[in-house]
Amino acid sequence: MKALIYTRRVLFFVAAILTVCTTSCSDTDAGIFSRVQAEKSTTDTMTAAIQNATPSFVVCLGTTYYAGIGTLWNKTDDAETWSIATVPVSPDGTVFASSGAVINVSGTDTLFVAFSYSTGSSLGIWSTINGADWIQVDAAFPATGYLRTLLAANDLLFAVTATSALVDTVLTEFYSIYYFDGTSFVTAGITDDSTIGMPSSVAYDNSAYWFTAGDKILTGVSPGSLSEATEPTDGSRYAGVCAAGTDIIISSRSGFLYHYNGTSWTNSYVFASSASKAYSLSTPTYFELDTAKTLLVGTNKISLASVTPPAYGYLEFDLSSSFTADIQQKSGDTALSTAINFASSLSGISVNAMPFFDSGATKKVFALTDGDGLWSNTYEDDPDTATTDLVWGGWVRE
Amino acid sequence: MRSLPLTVFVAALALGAQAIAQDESTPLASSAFSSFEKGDGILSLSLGTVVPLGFYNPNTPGYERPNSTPGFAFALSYAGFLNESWALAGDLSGGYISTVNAARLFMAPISLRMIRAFPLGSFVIAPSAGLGIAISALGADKHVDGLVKAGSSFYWKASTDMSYALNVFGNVIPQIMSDHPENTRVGMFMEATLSVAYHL
Repeated sequence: MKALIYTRRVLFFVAAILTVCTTSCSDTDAGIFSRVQAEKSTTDTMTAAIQNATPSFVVCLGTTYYAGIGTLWNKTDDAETWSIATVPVSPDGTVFASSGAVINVSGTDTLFVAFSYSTGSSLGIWSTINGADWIQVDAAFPATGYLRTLLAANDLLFAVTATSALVDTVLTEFYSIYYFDGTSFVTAGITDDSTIGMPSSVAYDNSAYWFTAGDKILTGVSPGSLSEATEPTDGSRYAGVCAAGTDIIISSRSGFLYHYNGTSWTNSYVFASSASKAYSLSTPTYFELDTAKTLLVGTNKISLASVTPPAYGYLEFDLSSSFTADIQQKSGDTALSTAINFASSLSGISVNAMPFFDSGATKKVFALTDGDGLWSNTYEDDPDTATTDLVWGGWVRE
Repeated sequence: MRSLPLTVFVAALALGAQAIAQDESTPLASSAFSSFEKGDGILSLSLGTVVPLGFYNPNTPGYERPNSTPGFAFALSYAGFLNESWALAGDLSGGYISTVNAARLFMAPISLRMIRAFPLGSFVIAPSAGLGIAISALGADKHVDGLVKAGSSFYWKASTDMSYALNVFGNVIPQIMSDHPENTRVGMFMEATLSVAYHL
């Protein structure tokens, strides 16, 4: 009898193993073994000094990229590694570059960077057209408060400032938005406003400027007359905004995407992890290449109401068709990366921004992460074909 | 990763304690294996290396290079004898290998093996084969697959209670990706470990 029970147990175990063999369970599209086998090095041209950095911005001036990674770094298009850039004070590398933007000023692309000393005191906003010679912009700005960030859209530079004060024993920030008129910063119509959150991004839809500011959306046809916009139904916790042609797409810290077609808003469903935890989305990025229309949104681990959201890396959408409420993210092999490249690069990483640059000869997307450095993906000739076929080369570490 | 140094530490303690015990009681000397009996057991703690041999791609089809480097392997095994020649063994094992981007692939093969024991004086050759499951993890991704395990252990009996062993096993793990069949691979790995084995 014992032998019979023993034999049954063994047979049960064998049956269970055979079941597993034929119905392997997984939470990955790439497959772990196929990923290991096909993995290509993502670190061949890596700059070790920024491997674990948290970049605050990346911009492109001509054929040179500039990044705020503590201080200001730069890299030309054909270079492999990043170097510390020349800054307004000597020696280089001794001041922080907190935000930056490139706009066209009177026909010349100009880089604007907000610098501060290591003590935290502001060094002001500086501009350069060649990366070497810096000019301070509106030295008296801001007259009150402190500079929070620089934003740009439609070749117009905006500056966000803040002051803080106790309101009913609660420390409250009052935000102001200014735009650069070519000589100095003038008000954009938002002054010492505590009802909005920190203005975090701006986009231009060919007729109006749009800002995300916490639980508010601001808009204005003129940069000097911003006001609160009509919001999506139940919209809140806005993370960032981008323009898709004449449409506007806004992401939220609660996992939503909102689309505005000039008439009405369309809300997506909540983008969430497999454990049904909503992603905190970064500022979206939209670009068109050939016939492809791509929307990228990073997912980050920035805590919200004491809850740390999961990080997936980023979400990729094909906007060749119109935005709908049930829009689906791409999975597996996508336009930007294979499932294997994604799994061995940005999968599971907190991504704060994904700026796209088209410098003519080179088209590149960067991914700015939380503590995992700077990554890039270049639109280049497919090495696997004899003809000239441009494809995304996959994510590599900068 | 916290478990890796802990495992090494525990293994070192086990080996050290055993060596000290040997010094205090009887000198380390071989003794002949007597025939096994039904109910005998061998509990083994093993440390060594796992070598990725490559992957079979059923889509191409063909063999693909491992594209990874050998790593650390460990196992806890128990073999219970059914009669004088045959035993049934269960293994809880684990191992790490490194990918080209220095990510760590962790594998935990859990298997059940049939052992045929051939005593040769102070030695026992114990070829075995079995089935199991292999839990693989790389970064945030995890996968559970079937496992075919085959190989042999070579025991040297150091005392009446203890043996040392060299183990060489091959693990064949079919990783079937039903949603993305182009990513289906059969992984082949070799474990080479040294064991301290207690006779129970």
